[in-house]
Amino acid sequence: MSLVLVGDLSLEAIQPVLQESFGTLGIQNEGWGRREDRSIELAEAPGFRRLQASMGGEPCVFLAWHIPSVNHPDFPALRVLAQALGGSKGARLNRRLQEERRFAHTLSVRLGVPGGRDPSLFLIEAKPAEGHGLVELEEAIHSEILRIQREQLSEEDLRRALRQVETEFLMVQEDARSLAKAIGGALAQSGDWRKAFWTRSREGDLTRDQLQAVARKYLVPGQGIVALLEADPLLAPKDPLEEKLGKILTVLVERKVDDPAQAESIVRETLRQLRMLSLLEREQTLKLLEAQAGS
Amino acid sequence: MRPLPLLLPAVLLGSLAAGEPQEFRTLNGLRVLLEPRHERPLVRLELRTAWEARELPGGKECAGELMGAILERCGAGGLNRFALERSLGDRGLKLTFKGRRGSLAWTMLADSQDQEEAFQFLAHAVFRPALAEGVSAIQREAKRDALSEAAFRAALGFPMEGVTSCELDLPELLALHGRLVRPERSVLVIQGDLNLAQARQLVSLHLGTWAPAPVAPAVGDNAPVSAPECLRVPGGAALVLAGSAAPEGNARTRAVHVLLGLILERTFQDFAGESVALEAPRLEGDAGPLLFRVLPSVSGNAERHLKERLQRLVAQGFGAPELARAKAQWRAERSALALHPEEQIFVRSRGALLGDPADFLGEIQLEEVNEALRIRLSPKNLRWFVRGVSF
Repeated sequence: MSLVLVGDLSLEAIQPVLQESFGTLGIQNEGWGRREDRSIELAEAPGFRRLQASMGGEPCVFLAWHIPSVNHPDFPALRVLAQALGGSKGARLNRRLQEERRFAHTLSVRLGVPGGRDPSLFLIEAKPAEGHGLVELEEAIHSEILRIQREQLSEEDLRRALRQVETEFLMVQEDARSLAKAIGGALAQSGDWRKAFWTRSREGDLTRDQLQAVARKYLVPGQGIVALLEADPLLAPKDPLEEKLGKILTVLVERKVDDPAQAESIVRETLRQLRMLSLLEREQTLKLLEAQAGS
Repeated sequence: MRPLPLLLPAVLLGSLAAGEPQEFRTLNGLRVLLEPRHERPLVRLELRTAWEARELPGGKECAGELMGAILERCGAGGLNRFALERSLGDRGLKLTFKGRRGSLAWTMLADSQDQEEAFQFLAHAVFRPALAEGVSAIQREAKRDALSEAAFRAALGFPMEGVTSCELDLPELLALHGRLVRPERSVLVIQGDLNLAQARQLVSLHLGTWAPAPVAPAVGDNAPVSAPECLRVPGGAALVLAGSAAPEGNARTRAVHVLLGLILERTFQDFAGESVALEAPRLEGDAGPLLFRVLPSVSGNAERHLKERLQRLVAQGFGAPELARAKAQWRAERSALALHPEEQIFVRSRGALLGDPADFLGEIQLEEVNEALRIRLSPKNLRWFVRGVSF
């Protein structure tokens, strides 16, 4: 257990209070979970996994890769890579997929998910823009990752990310609450409270080559995890038009397919594909299908 | 398992206590307060401007909140919202905006090496906003639904949550911006790694050109318009709310209401079998609205139940121990303020414009608090929202 105190305190004055408050806690020999027993290296990659699930709320795609713990020498480069890819509006993925290609409505990158003490995840979370589907967005993200692995980030992307990471570290120190949280987090995850602070030797001197190397090493397409989450188009149509499309498609598919489960599956997948079209295109599709059903 | 007290070196933390600020005024009337702090290479700026309900078109209090919501959604300085956020992000600048009843505030946090850009972007946001973009955004996002719980809350002074009953067109909003956001009625608080000479130079360079727009004549009768006494909404899940709007008045009056809010919060927390929940937020350390909500466990006529509960509360009033406990709680919160510069700066800027209620903490008497309770919960000042209950 660690206790972080920030503020107008002196160790001499606070020691009796600490002794009274926490000194009665029993000492136990550390067993399971000792940091020394944990490997900072990644276990063998489990291979690519893909999950498609129906859930309420806005459609969302998650792409994740396994990364080592915060104590691994590659972690600072991964932190700067995450910032360069999706840490701000001007970051590479935000710029390319939100501003230029307009595939994504929101996009963010996090690392150390759910925590950095053990090997964890490098996670990209994105919601598609109107008229774009989850698969299309997933492919666009993969394509940008491949591009970074082949062509490196620009010098400007690197400089911006380094500056933002340094500023983030600095701003955390301003407020006692956030400073205590950062120190406690660094201590719990890495065993070293100093890791709550930016150091030039650790983050400041990183190069584009190093960022490209960690992107190649960890963001491997064959070892990622992809989760596509969206509302079921049959159970929870996103608009009245989708409801109409579902009904007319069901009529058409049931004419050709006897198995109701198979028919439902075909209709569901078709509706998912149609979500990638614009409103006008979907309305035209409905007219075509209605004509087909009437003939 | 061994407790490990971790005390940071003094050089790292520096002094968290704040001294008295240095003050100057620019030629355009902007008041500037500077609190130099050189422990860390950071600069925080807060520019705040105050308004009163009688200055709003047709006395619509919601217009102030609508202006806040629009400023939150627009770009500035010739950049659209996306480009503005990108430019700020590229420079590691953090700009936040708060539109609250009675004031609008912009806060900027920057590495001190970027202080010039911090001032430049703050000036863009304050007096060069792209209001048309904000109006379009709010038209897309906000539902105009006067019969919603969110609109009822906004009318009491809670922050707007994407629903408004307010309708103003772009020319009206431009005129309103010119009338409300003016240097001579604003205060800029600068905190951080900056000295007086630097502050004077940067303020003069970036905010010295802020010329107040000619004051547009008031539109129509500007007597404040408050929420209707009772909004009855048929259908939907049963909900009975009673609210009392955030009070206006001088700092001493608001201090009484802060203490009243603290006592009420404790009163409704302490009862294990309580049938009513209370929200009594302090808005940036100042007095805020009160919102009572009948809990679903209440059977029978929920509206009558709440009325009786509030009448009982007024009849009983509060005692000296409750006031003493509220004062102790407020004092404790204030003493911890130095640990949180972000909260400290908005208390400082709000206090500079409207007076700091905490200055009167020691003087408030029990009779004043009980009188405030009677006023806030009088039928004249209570507003009701009744949904899904047969009338």
